This record gives sequence, structure tokens and C-alpha cells, in this order.
Amino acid sequence: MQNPTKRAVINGLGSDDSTTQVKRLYEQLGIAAGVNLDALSDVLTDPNWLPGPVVICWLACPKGRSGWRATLYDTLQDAAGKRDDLTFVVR
Amino acid sequence: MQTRPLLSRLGALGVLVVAGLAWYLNQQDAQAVDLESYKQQEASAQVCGHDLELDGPEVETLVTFGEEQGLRFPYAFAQVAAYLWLIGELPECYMTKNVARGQGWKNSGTTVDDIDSAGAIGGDTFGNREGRLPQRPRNRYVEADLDYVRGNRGAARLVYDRELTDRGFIWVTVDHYDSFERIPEL
Repeated sequence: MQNPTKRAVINGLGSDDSTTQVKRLYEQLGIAAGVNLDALSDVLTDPNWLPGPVVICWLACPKGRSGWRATLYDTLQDAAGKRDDLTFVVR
Repeated sequence: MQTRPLLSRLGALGVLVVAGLAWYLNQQDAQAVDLESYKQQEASAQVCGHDLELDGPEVETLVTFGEEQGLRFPYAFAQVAAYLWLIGELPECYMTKNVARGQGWKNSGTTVDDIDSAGAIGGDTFGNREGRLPQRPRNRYVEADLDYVRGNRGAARLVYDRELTDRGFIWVTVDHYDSFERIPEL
């Protein structure tokens, strides 16, 4: 039987940093792992750590991304490209 | 009159040297016993890399380093790191996530040991997204799981420079990439 779809939302507004955003994602997805972008990349591509299906939505995602925002975007997009049960949406 | 005290001193020195030698040999024996114990324990657990049968002072150095990092299976780590150092690639027990997915590692009910009881995840690119390792061109770093036996994967990894231009460029992280320790020069 398919698991219920997990949903997580990142809000690009505000003065958050990478660690805060990764922590928020983990809270919503029920994950306990290293709080850094390398660990997030590992977790998102591990079906035991993060069982699918999953939808991650980034609200108010800036079009001009740099620094950790560009890296977080790449991390999420890269993971979605490797799993057919993970969807990354930008609004 | 001076001869007896001198001989006495030389005798005492000799006793000290013999005692020191005995202590040193005892330590060497103790280390050998530890290695043998690790070998048996890790063969029983079927840890990836336990059966590479590499020996020598480099392996002992790596086992000691693995112990210092708090690895659960320092002998298998030492074998994998020595193999990488000598051969330039990961041993065959490792498979990339993509290969594992192709073999059925796709949902929470299937773990890596379900598809390969002596296997582990390794060979994927490590992104160095946080920049905690020296900056290198994209896709240069590779990662491999350490201490994996069964169930969900843990937080220990070996990370190395794919080009191996400097064989010392191998790191270990035990806290899921929060910090890294470079392996000792071999």
C-alpha cells in the first residue's frame, strides 16, 4: 500500500538561514539527521530516511538565487530528479 | 672500588631495558589480538570491506584512527581506506544509490541489506555543498557509507577526492557531514 503523501513548505520570505530552513524541512518531514545541506542531500535521496511520496514546495522562491539559497534549490531539484516519488514545486 | 657500583648500575639499566622490551612486545601482542578480534567480529557482521585481507602497519594505523573517530567497525574502515589508497577505487561491496534503486531499494520497507546482505551504499558524488572540505571542481568528491550492517543507514561516511591526485585526500565524518577528519598520512 502506498504511504500517504508527505508535504513540506519552505517560505522564502524573511531572513532565514540555511540551517533554519533545513530544520523546518526536517520538522515537517519527520526526519532526524545532520542539519546541513550535504546531509539534506543524502536524506532526500534515501527511501528509508525519507519514504515517499513527498511534495516539497518553496513559496516566494527568489528568482535571483545566490549563496545557500542557490545551493538549497540545487539540492532539492537534484533529489527530485533522482526519485520519481519526490516532487519539488516552486511558487 | 668504583667497579662494583658501576656494574650494579649497568645491571639495573639492563633490567630496565629488558622490562621495557617486554612491555613493548606485550603491547604489540595486545594490538595484534585487537586486530584479530575486530576481524572476527566484523566478518561475523558481514561489514562491507571486512574480507579484503590487507595487512601491514598502514592498516594498523588506520584501525587506530578509526577507533579514535568512534567507528563501530574500524577494521572494515581500515580495509576500505587502504584498498582505496592502493587500488584507487572502492571495493566491489559498494553500490551507488542508483544501482541500489535498480535492485529494489525504493521504499521504506526495503533496506540496503535486503538487496545485498554484505553490501553498502558508496560511489555517489559528495556535493561539498557546505564547503567544509577544500574547494574542488564539481563532482570531484565521492562518498561511501561506513559502519553499515543492516537496517537504515547511519551517519558515518568516508569521503575522498575522485582524482586521487594526493592519496592522502581521504576524510571521515561520523556526524553526517557536520565535521570531517582527514586520515593520517600512510
